[in-house]
Amino acid sequence: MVIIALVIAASGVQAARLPADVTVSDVDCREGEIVGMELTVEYLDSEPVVVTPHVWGTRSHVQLSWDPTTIRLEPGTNTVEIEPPRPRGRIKGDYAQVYLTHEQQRATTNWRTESCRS
Amino acid sequence: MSIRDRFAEDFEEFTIEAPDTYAILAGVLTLQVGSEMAYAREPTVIWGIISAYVFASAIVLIAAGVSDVDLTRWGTLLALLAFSSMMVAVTLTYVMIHGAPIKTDALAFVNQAGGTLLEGRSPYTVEMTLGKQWPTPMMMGGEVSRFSYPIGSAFAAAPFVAVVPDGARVAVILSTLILGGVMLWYAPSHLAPLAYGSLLVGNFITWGVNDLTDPLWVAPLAVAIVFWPWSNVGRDSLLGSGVFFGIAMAIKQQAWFCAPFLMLWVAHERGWRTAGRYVVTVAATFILIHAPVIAMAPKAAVTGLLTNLYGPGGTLVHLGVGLSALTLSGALPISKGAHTALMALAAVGGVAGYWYYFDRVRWLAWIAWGPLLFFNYRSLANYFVVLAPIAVMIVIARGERLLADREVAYSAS
Repeated sequence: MVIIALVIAASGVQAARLPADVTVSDVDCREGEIVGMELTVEYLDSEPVVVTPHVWGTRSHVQLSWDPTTIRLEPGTNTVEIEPPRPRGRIKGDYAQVYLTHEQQRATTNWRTESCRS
Repeated sequence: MSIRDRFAEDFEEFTIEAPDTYAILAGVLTLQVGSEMAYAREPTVIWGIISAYVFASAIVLIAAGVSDVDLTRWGTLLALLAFSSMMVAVTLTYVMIHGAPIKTDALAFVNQAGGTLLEGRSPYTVEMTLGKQWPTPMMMGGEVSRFSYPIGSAFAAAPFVAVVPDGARVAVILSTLILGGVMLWYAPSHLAPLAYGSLLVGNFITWGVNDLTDPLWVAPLAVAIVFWPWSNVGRDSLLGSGVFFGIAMAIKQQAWFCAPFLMLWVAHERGWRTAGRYVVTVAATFILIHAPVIAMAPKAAVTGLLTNLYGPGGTLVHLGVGLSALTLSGALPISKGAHTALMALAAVGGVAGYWYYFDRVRWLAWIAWGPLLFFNYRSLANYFVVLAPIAVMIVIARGERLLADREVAYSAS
């Protein structure tokens, strides 16, 4: 059973991987909160894909989907700008995470929000 | 004759005994919860009195634990004093926040569903609009906006929603009071501080004002344990236990995971025919509670009940403290499908292992959701925090039998 579980987990890891590297290249700050950000996404597959961005942080635990909720990634380098759907989604605190989802796949990046602390 | 007198030889060997440890633990947990509540202080006389009461009860418990107070005699009273202090504090907190928007979608949906029932409509057919501070996001964007819990929670909230706008909070506070009352009523004196202390784990006792719903189903589950024929407290009634377990299932899906194991327990001890009757009792209770909403809109009711399992409305985001924490943290994302497969594997192995090792693991049936939901892609902390009071309820249910066994062993030696 342990071997079956490991096989399932390994296939789950593979199935969850979106072939993309996400970097937060710029943030828009207002009074110590992140109210927008620019992402650089290196998409490694040959077929375009539509993804949804989600963002959450140390003091904003809810993984709200940011706008636009559908982003088309082309093969290669993509630059996208996203913003929270409402003030509740603004990011405060020391750490934050952005992840892009396509069905069960995701590409994740964690970063320290040093540049946006008042 | 007290337990201390009955087993005097053993007690001489120990300087700190289990009852003392339970009292110290309960006092420590009271300090922790009290400290957090201290941040919500108000310049009112009653808040000052409540603060003093809570901390005084903590000090008394700790002092009783480190001294020679006979907790086999005074444990229940001390636990009751402390429990009442916390419940008064929680009630006062509710009075202070009364009417404020409910923060979590879970309780907000229950509240709105209760109101919808009072209007004569099925909550499964309406858009849920409350609880926007802590919504449940979905993978493809947006947030959950449909009622996706069994209808029992809405029925529990409805009478209070008829009186106050945030009546669901009142329902949760009352459920907490009932749960604590049941535990302290049936706990022997030396276990009473542990019973009270288990309600403080994860601030469970404050969930009525922290907008979580779990006391609504944990209370009937504890009553089901009391009625369980293999429990050594309360009145043995498989029918009564089945009814209260059916109520718990009709309030929250977590209880569903206990069902196959409880059925196996009955089958193991009393045969498959009795197990079948038990299943019918539980199912009939569940269906009876859902009958009104099934009659109003059957398809919507079924969709709503099963949404959390297969998500016809869309996949929710990974969240939790179990295996899903690897995905949530970004350390090692695992697909939802793999989580579901792992949970199914754990369930199959669990059922097989439960039957094979029945004599050693049978009481695990009452906490079955814990190990299984650990593998789910949504494994919220509150799913596991509620293990504390149920685990202690199991200890209470088993406890007197253990002491009786020990007494027999001493008599024979």
